[in-house]
Amino acid sequence: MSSSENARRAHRLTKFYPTAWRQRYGEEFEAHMEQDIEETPHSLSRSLNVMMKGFGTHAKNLTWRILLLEPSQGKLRNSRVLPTVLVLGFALSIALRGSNVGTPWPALILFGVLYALFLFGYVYDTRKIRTVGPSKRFSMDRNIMTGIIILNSGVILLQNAIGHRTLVLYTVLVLDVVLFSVRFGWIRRKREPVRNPLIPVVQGKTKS
Amino acid sequence: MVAAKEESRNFGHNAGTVTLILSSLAGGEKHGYSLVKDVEKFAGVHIAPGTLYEALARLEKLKFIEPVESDDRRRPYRLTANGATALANQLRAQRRAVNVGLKRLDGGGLIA
Amino acid sequence: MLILASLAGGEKHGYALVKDVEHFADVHIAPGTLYEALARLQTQKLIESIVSDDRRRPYRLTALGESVLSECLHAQRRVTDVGMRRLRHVWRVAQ
Repeated sequence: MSSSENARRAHRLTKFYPTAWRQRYGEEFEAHMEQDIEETPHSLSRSLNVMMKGFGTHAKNLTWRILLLEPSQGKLRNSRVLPTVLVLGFALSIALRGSNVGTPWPALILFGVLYALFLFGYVYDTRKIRTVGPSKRFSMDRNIMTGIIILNSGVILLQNAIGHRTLVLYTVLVLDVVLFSVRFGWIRRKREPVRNPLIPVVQGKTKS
Repeated sequence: MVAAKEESRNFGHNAGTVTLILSSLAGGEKHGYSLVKDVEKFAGVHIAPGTLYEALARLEKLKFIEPVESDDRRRPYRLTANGATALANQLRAQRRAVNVGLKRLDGGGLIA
Repeated sequence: MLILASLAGGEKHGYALVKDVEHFADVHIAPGTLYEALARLQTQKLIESIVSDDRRRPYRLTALGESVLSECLHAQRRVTDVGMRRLRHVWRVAQ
């Protein structure tokens, strides 16, 4: 196994951890993994351990403690609020689909409150922390979250008025998953690399 | 015995791993990989990377260890004074418990 | 291992076990954890339950349990000593 192959595997394994964690520990963790992989090329228990602990670290972000974060940690809070709201909204909408509730005001109020919390952080972030304007990732968060909330709330409110209810419900479910995936980067828009005409093409590959 | 209770709360459910890590660092500062190798050598226990970094993060928050500035990609850690004290207390408590067990096995008579 | 060490001092039932471990090791074992551990130790044949008139069921160490405990305790003492030695030499911590 070449060392670059090991480096790539180490990098892939480190990606199980959240971005914020990786900013602090990512480098040393990767170095550790590289050495470990060199010594023990294949270990199922190691892969499982890293995956579980990685997910565990993600899960630690999804607790009520997000509400206690200082405004100065706006960016950190925002990176935690969205996944929490999404997971909650997702779970709630699934749970409510089965039942024929009239208008589930508690669910809508919960959505509303969490969204308001998120917006508060958003406004604070744009006003106080960043003079330049909201970060791109934050705007994407806001748009996706608005989309999910409108979609699911719409379905809940209008469920009695919708014909082909099952079809609509499944479509919305699929859209939820797609929006999730876009947010977490599992689906990337394929972009053709722009070819600079001044750089000669060598053997069919663009020389960078 | 109050001090021992404090320690067991800090050391948590992964007390074994944490104690091993601190014992390893008591011998000098080390980075993650050397730590794992050292613990393997003196205790015969292998600490998986995920578990290791979870424990290191916790120990750092408790101020029992601190990272050492280094150009290396790998970041060495060293024991702090607080960490040394906590480790000493934990090891003393451990030795007490072990002695009780050994004494009982011997039927409370001659100690091996 | 705490359970094994506790039983080394004589057979006990669940409640007495918890009290004893609390006393010599300052560790409180929750009931759920305790009975899970007792079941596992029984499967591993390290302890056995004794028939008794009492409603509460006492447990005792088997011969296998005794030797496993002894091995564990000696290994544990070795590891603890390494730590203490290092603390003494590098950190000048008193015993």
